[in-house]
Amino acid sequence: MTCQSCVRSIEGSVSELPGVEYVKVELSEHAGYFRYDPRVCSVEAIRSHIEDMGFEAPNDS
Amino acid sequence: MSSTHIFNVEMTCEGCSGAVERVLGRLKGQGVEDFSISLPEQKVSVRSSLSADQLLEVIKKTGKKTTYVATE
Ligand SMILES: [Cu+2]
Ligand SMILES: [Cu+2]
Repeated sequence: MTCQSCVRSIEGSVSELPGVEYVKVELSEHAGYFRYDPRVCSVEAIRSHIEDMGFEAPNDS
Repeated sequence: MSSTHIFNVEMTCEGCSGAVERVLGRLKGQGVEDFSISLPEQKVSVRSSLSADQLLEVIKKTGKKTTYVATE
């Protein structure tokens, strides 16, 4: 992810996932912060959604 | 029987076009034959047996604003 427009794309799309309460993507850190309800969502679900959007979301975070 | 569908996609840098490239690339051999992306023209053209609507949904997954332009 390389520009502010990608950041907004990811934030907008991930925040629509069920159970996701808060999304903040930091371009400078190449990182995303998420708060979600663990009963309906998971790190893996968010990760695979971002991959599905065509962005790379490596597993290390 | 495939046609070339043209879309206008709001892309601001190679990161954006890279995302479009990945979602379309995954469908290569599964309905998508070939595609080309022009960042300066904000244009994506796809040679495919899929319908324009199906392709629109695929490109929209990237979260980029996408509109259908024409089929050739
Ligand atoms: Cu970008
Ligand atoms: Cu971009």
